[in-house]
Amino acid sequence: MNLMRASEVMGLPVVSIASGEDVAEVRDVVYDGEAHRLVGFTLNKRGFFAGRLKAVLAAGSVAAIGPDAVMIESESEIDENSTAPEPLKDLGEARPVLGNRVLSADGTDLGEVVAVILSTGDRAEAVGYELKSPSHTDTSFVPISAQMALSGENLVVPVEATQFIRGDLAGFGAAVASYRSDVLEQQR
Amino acid sequence: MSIDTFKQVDRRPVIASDSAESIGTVMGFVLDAAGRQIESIYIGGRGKHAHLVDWATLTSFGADAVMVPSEGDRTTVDDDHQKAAVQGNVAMVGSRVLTIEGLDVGVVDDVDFDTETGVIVRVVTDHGPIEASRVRSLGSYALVVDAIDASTP
Repeated sequence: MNLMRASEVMGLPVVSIASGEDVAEVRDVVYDGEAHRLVGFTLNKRGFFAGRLKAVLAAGSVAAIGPDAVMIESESEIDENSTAPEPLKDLGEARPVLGNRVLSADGTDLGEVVAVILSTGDRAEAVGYELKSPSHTDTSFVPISAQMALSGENLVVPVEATQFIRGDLAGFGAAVASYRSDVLEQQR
Repeated sequence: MSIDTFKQVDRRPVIASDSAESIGTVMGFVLDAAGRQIESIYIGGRGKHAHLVDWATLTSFGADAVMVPSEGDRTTVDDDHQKAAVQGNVAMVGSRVLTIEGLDVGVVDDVDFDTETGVIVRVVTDHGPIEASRVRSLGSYALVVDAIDASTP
């Protein structure tokens, strides 16, 4: 599983697979902190001094997120009349997750959320958070789980998720994959 | 099938069979949106006075000259698609190559095509060749191709 920080997606061109044209550029990432879910992207026009586009791109309309571009099947995916999910239209709703203190369910302070981690490829979704340790010396990554609770100040992580915390993004990709197959499978 | 490349045929004279006059030289290609087939050849002039010959009118794309029946087969640009190709905004050689996964995999160095049919056979990039069957589209931003490594998750 290849991963990227959500902030790295900002500024990437949005390219149509059908036409090879760069139809927009990612302005901002819209993230629903309560559901731990990537909602979509707001967009800018391409080029210097180009302003904001009214149209938005829903996560479900993305064909793939890559290191060099966000790919969509065709330009119609960012049509202004497209059926954008509600949170994309109402950005104030989602509870911010960046800056939250992360606590494990047994009461250990794991650090502070500094980034949302997305999976790249054809499944554009949020899979984890990057944490800065309480001493601000170390970076680690914790997988997102449905059992996480978010207050807007604190994020509580289930104990079983803590064993999948990794110190680097490459190792975290493998950890997310095994976390999902192990823990999530048991819960079914 | 007889293969030639865009770089090898650059500046090849275009000759009208009925008058034996040169009516231009190969300066570029207008491809279909899918990037698989040559629609016409850009043979001279600039802007809205740029001259083209449709691939369908060619008598032969020869090793030393491109033959057309007569000077009357020369046309001028008449749509934005042709204009973009003539102005160099949409051109395969020099284009960025992007996979459908959003990964930049190099720049197009040359293009192999079938001189009998005008069908694109292979795109040669600075990172290696890509079969034309993997090409999805050609636009002003990129040549979009299928994922290079099918085993990538």
